[in-house]
Amino acid sequence: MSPAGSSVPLEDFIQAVQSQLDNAQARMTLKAQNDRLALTFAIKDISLDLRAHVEMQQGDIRIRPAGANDGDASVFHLVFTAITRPMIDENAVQLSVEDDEDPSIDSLGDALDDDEKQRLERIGVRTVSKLRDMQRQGLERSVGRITSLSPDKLRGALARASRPMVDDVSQDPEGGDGAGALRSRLRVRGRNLLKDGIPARVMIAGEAVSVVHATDSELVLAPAPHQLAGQMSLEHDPRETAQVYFDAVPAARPQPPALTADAVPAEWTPAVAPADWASADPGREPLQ
Amino acid sequence: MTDYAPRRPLGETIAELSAGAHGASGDRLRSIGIFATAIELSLPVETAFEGSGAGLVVLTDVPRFRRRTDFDLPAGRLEVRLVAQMTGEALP
Repeated sequence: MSPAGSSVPLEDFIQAVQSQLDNAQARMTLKAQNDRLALTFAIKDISLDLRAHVEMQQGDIRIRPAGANDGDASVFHLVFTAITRPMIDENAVQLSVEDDEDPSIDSLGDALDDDEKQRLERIGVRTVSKLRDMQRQGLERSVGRITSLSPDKLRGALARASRPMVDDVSQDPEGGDGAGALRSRLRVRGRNLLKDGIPARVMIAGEAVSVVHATDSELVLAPAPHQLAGQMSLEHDPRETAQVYFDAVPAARPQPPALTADAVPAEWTPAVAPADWASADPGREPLQ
Repeated sequence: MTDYAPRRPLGETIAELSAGAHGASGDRLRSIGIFATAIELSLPVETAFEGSGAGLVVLTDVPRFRRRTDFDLPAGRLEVRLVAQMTGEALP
């Protein structure tokens, strides 16, 4: 038994009732099958009057069942009804929101704690893009007021979510065109490389680098010759910078070893002197 | 201290009520062409909670005593509507 006087979140109570109704339905079905009955009964709806006290704790509605001789309790009138699958599909919140284009707010990591994420979910904000939309619409303060999250906290979380992420840095094999062809290009692959259509600010070794082409998953950079290796930082927001170490200096072309008399391997054929051409090629006349 | 029968979870209480309905619409009655198509029940219940979080169990059972005293939990009310379905048909 739960400790006397302890309260439980209303959400937990409703889920517990639903679980009990599923249990009851399963028992009835099993009984009909075991007894080989042609008929079974299905729960159409139930209503339950529950005498309980209501409490609010950090935005959670909690209920505490009335105890003995507890006449001041409120009465909860709860009605549960069976619904069909199309009704579930129409009314249930879309849970499968996990995709790369629209990650859930869980992807914010430790920028928000579980309680803060839960508060956002309660007002229907389940994805990062939804949170971003609300910020774009200027609803930041309203969201903050309802969820008790400060605008700074929300901005920080969004900055974290839109932080550029780098998967790979390599030399662009296509290089530039025209005069640009003389300069090396770097290709940066990753995510969140654009924000509101603007590419991330890129620095290599503390100096800015020009971006010549940008998509959300790829940037093509035009670095100076001394910027082909080192630390690259990308940022949309100075609070959330992505940093990566890379080395895209082209490997030096291997030079043939310098030939010296000592270095000539025994099996190498010595070069043929012009005077020896005739002997080397009997059909050829020596030069006069 | 007196040992009372433990309160049953809500699902078990409803299933027991339904078992009675199965009896009422059993073979004996159906053999003479009578069967129940729906059952509506309304009864006083006492409710308590057990466990917490995902393990929370709602214990809802009929009152333990006919005569109420200050030591009993306040009674609420449970109303259940059951509808008959042919066995093997998809449940809602």
